[in-house]
Formats: sequence, structure tokens, C-alpha cells
Amino acid sequence: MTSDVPVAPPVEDPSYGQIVWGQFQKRRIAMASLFGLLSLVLVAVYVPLFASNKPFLWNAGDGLSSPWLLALFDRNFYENQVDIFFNTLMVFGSLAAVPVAVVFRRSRTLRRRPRQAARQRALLAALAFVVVAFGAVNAAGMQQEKTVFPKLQAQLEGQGQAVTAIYPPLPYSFRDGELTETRLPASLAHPLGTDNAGRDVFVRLLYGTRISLTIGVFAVALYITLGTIIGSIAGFYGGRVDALIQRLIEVVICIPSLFLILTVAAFIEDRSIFHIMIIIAAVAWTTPARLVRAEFLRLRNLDFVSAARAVGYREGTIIFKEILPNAIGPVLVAATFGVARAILIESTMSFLGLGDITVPSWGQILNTGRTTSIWTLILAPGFAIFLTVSLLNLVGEGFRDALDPKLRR
Amino acid sequence: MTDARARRPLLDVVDLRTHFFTDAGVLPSVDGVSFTIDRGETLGIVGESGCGKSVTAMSILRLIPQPPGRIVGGQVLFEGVDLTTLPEPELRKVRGNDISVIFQEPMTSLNPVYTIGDQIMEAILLHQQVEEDTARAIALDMLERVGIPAAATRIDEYPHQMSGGMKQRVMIAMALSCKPKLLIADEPTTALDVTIQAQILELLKELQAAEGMGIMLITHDLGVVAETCDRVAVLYAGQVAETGATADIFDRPTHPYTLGLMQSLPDRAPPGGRLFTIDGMVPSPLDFPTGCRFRTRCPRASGTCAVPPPLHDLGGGHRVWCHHPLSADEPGELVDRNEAVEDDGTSPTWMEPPRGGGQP
Repeated sequence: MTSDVPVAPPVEDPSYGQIVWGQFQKRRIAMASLFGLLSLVLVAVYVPLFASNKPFLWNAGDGLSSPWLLALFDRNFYENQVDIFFNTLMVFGSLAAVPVAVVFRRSRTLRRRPRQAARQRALLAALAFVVVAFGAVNAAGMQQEKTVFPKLQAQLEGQGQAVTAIYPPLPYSFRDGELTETRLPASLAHPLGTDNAGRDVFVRLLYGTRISLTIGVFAVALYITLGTIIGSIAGFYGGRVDALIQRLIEVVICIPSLFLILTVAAFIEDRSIFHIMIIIAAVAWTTPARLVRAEFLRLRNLDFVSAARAVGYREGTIIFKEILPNAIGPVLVAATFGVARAILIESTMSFLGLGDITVPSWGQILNTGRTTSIWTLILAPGFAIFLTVSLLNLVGEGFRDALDPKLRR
Repeated sequence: MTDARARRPLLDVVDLRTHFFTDAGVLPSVDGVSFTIDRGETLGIVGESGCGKSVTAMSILRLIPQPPGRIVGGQVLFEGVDLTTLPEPELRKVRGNDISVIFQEPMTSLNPVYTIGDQIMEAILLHQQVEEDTARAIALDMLERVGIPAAATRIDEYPHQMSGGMKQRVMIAMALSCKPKLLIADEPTTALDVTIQAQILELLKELQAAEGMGIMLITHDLGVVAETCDRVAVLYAGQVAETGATADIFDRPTHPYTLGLMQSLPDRAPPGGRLFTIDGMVPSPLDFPTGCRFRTRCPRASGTCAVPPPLHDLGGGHRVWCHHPLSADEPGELVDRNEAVEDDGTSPTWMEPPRGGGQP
């Protein structure tokens, strides 16, 4: 039966993911937006290379040192965990990227299954490396003296001492301002001027990318996970479980989310951005839960679910390994839009004075602009929010169309 | 294996009752079904749509949706172990390993997001302590044995790249990859065209000869039964009406319903004449008649049929549950339905047993 059939050349057929990616690539605006987003991520990760008031190299006659490098994990300089994490990503993530790239290159010729396994292992190892490094950096708890190097340099040079210092292009801190330079207009030294505390607005905007993207991604990851698990269980088991979860969802969505967020936020003292992520997740999980539930109701009656049962899989395996991959497409689209929504919610909260005042998020900058009426403090973060949200929405739309078989090109 | 164990049938279903508890009432979809399947034997389960064939099959591995379904009585003894009371973790070891199922609809029976090779391998890895490479080799071997052309390349294809017949072969390969002792095939060829159907049935027979597994073949196609089954159980309204060796059933259908089914075969109709049908429909499980459930459609029904029908053992495993079984010595002709209807509508005479009998 098999012998006389010509053997097809071993060309690998595209997987579902590859088909969707191929469709996405054909949508130019979406692709351009994706590159725009990737640039934003790169800016967020590598911003200390461009903006920091610590010199890369410093020699004041007592030997060569790199305050910039030491400051990256310094609690006294980068007070925020988010910055420490991004700095870890910048240093250790870049290191890990090299072996990952090598594994990806070498595995190209493998068959699909071992290739996927090899790549997954490499990515997981890299992730574990970064997480361990982050833990180690936090455990080390580096705390150095707060030295303002440009001032020190001026002081030492005033004493006639030769100082060698190489700074990033924008030698300013996002946190500590120069009180003699408040409310400066835009200039070559300060591309967007300074605020009422003498901080460079452009530098704050760049560091704000970290905060806003983190809030968006983490809040969405949190509520997508929560909503997906709840929705899967509701859709898979149906009946009373479903009815109960549906009522819970209805209770959550019938409360106007902005007022709920503001009310809850008002009760938390010392709000950090992690509180804000959790608050956003607590109101937004209903969207993925409903999407996943609807998909599960459709999928659970298909024969492959019965077949999976008949093969002897556990219910957990059936829910999360057999059905969920079939239901996840719409959720990922919703997640892309969700990031945009989370960024907007954070900005709104910060703008209303209910955010984390210790971080330079875009909403906080806006809020400063509102209280000080400096126009660059309103226009610049406003534009950054607009740009990011637009890019996310365009990517989300492209992704949604790519998933839709009726819109195949 | 002990003697006692060897003498025991592979599968012994005793008085199985599966009911569905719905808002409209209790549906006794399977209500007292008994049959056995031996190693290397094929049992055909036949009956109209809605007579409980699939529910019976799904009840064996407790695959019925629960709720609303529930097995309310009876035993399913697989090698002496009652599957209806077996704890879920134990049952999972039986599923796919000792007992495999092939479903009716090959188009939706495979998970669209995994390659067929991955799906077969996962099933093997679940039940057998083998390395991934070995599992892949087994999967490839199974795909070759079920006649997938260029199996070495197609193993990495996705279900949407295959035709219905190919998918059903993949399902069979998956079901047989753990060398089950019993294969439950729920209308495995219904969704396929006739030529593929013949190939699949031939394939099942070949694999059965090689592996010596028992097969429970659910179908409404008597032609398929005649070709492939050793024994037949005719189901009506959740109960067994008649059971016996295939040759006996086809030569001497004794239950009026069995005869009705045989006469409904299109090739039994005279050229140009009307096709024979059994009057009425399978009654809704919500209001099955008391006593014999076929009596509302049975031309031989009488007042006594209101009590449950007695069992007649005709020898050689041929059993029938009926108050008025057709007997072999009762002379009769195969009466043309068209004429019978024209004669008088009150008492159809189609119930005379066919003289020659034989396979359709």
C-alpha cells in the first residue's frame, strides 16, 4: 500500500503559529507598529546607556573605576525594583542572549519536536539565569554613598585636580534634580527642558518607558493568567461551577472599573506600582475569563476532547494542554489591547494623584505638569502615551486579523 | 494468567444501565444491556439512531458526560475488574492502554494544534515507559501499518493537512499504538466514503488478526456487520433485543425488530419499488413503552407485550427477548411491502420470516 507512493520531499509544513505569523507579516502597518514597540522595549532596557549621571569611566587620580556599572544595582541610586530588574536584564540578559542565539542557529536543521525542545530549554535557561541574577543582585543589596559626580568633578577641578570622566550623552538622573536649573526651556543640553525640581524631562520620559511598559505587561500577564484559569474551569465543567463563576464575573463588571480602582487605591497607603498592577488585574480579569469560557464551551464538545479522555489523560492535562492551546488566540489579541488599557489606567491614576509618586511614570510626569503648568510636562508624556497605546492597538488589530481565517491573504 | 481468568470473557457487560438526568426527566438511554466480548472476537452492536449504541460504548470507559449522565446499575467487567466502580486514576490506566476508542468523526477527533506524530507519541508516552525516540519509532511504525503513504514525512503534519480517511487511519494508529486488548470502534466508517470504508474495515480485521484484540464495532450498517463481525447484538431503545452469531442472526432473525432492520436494507427492495421501512420512530427515552419497548411499532404485538419480554435461548448463544419470536418452523414469505400496504393497512404481513435467509 505504501511502497509505490512517491515520497514527498522533506519540507516541513507550517504550524498554526507559523501561519499566523506569516499572515501578520503581510500586514505592513501592524509590522511597523511591532517594530516600533520593539524599539520602545529596547529603549526601556538600555536607557542607562543613554541617560545617567554616573560616568562610565571615572579617574580622579585614585585609579580608574566605573561608577555607572556599580550604580546599576545600587539601591541608593536605582531605588525601584523595576529599574533594578531592567538593569539586570540589560547586563545579564544581554549575556544570556548570546548562547540562546547560538542554540537557535544550531537547532535550525533539527526536526520540529527536538528543535522546539532545544529552543524551549535555551529560553528557560536564559530566563532562569536572569531571575537568579536578579535575586543575587537584590540579595547583595549594594548601597554606596550618594555621590553626585558632575558636581564632584566641578569641585575637584576647581581645586586644580585633573579628572577624567566619560558620561552617557544625557548626564542626568531621573530622580535627583539640579535646583539651580528648574523650569529651563528646551535646549541642546536639555532636549525637553527641566521640570520644577530641575530634573531633565526627556530623561524622565525615557525612564518612564520602563515603568509604563512594566505596568502594562505585568498587570496583563497577571490578569490573563487569572482570567484564563477561571474561564477554563467555568467553560470546561459548565453547570453549577459555570453559573457561580458567571455571577462572580457579573458582579465585578457591573461596578464601574475606574471608580473601583480609584476607591481601592485611595485605601492603600504607600502605593507602589505593584499595588497598581494588582488593582488593574483585579478588575480586568473578567475579559479573558469570558473569552476563554466561550471558547471552551465550543471546544469541549468536540471529539478530540472525548478522544483525549479515552486515551487516559487527566482532566488538568485535557483542560490546559489539549483545549487551552485551541482557545488562546482571542485571549492573546485581548492581551495586546489590555496592555494599552493598563497603561492608560495607570496614567489616569497617576494623573489623579493616586499613583506611585516615587517612579517617573508618564502619568506622574503629566501630574507634575498639571500642578506646575509647564507645557512640556504635559505634551511630552501625553505624546508618549498616545504613541505606545496606538502602537499596541495597531499590533493587536493586526494580530486579530492574522488569526481570522476569513481575512487570510 | 490463571485458568479462571482465561476462561472469563475479555469484556463482560452485565445489565448495564446508564441514565441521563435532565430537566425534562430521566432518560434511560441504556437500560439493562448485557453482552460479552472475547479475545480476538468482533462484536457488532447494531440499531437505529438513538437506541443507545454509543452511550453503551461510552459507558464502558465512563466517558459519558457526567452530569447529566450516570451509570445507575450493572457491571462492566474487564478481565474481571468492574470498570463502573474503579477509581478514576485506575481507570485512566485502562483508558487508551487496555481499551482504546475510535470515534465516529475523524475530522474533529484530532487536536488541531499538534502534529499527528506528537499526538500519537503523547499517548504512547503516557502509558509506556519508553524514551521519546522509541515512542516516535512506534508511532511511525503504526502509521505505516495503517497505510499512511510517506509516513516518515506525514508524521510531522497537522490534522488539517490530511483527508478524512487519512485522519481516521491516524485515529486507528493512535488507538492501537498501545496494543489494547479491546478496541471500541464507534461507527468508525460512517463519515467516510465507501471505498475508504472498505479499506478501514479490512485494516481493522488485519490488525485484529495480528494482535488478537477484541473489537466492539458499533454501526447501523448491516452490510458492515455481515462482513466483519463474529457476533451481533441488536439494540432497541436501550435494551438488547436479540444477540447471537452473525450467521444465525442473518439466517434466522427471530426478533421482529431484527427482521425489520434486515428488510429495510435497500437491496432487499424490489427494483423500482418503495424501500421498506419500519413504521414510526424509536420512541423518546422520556416515554419508553412499558414491557416490550418495540410493541408500539411491532405488527406482532399483543396485550401480553405490556409486560417485559421473556428470554428465549435458541442455542449457540442465539438469544432473543420477545413475547412473539419468529420461529424457524413458521413458514413465511418475504412479502412486498407495497402490496402489503395495499392489501390492508391494519395488519402488516411483512413479519413472515424470510425463507432462504442468507446475508444481504
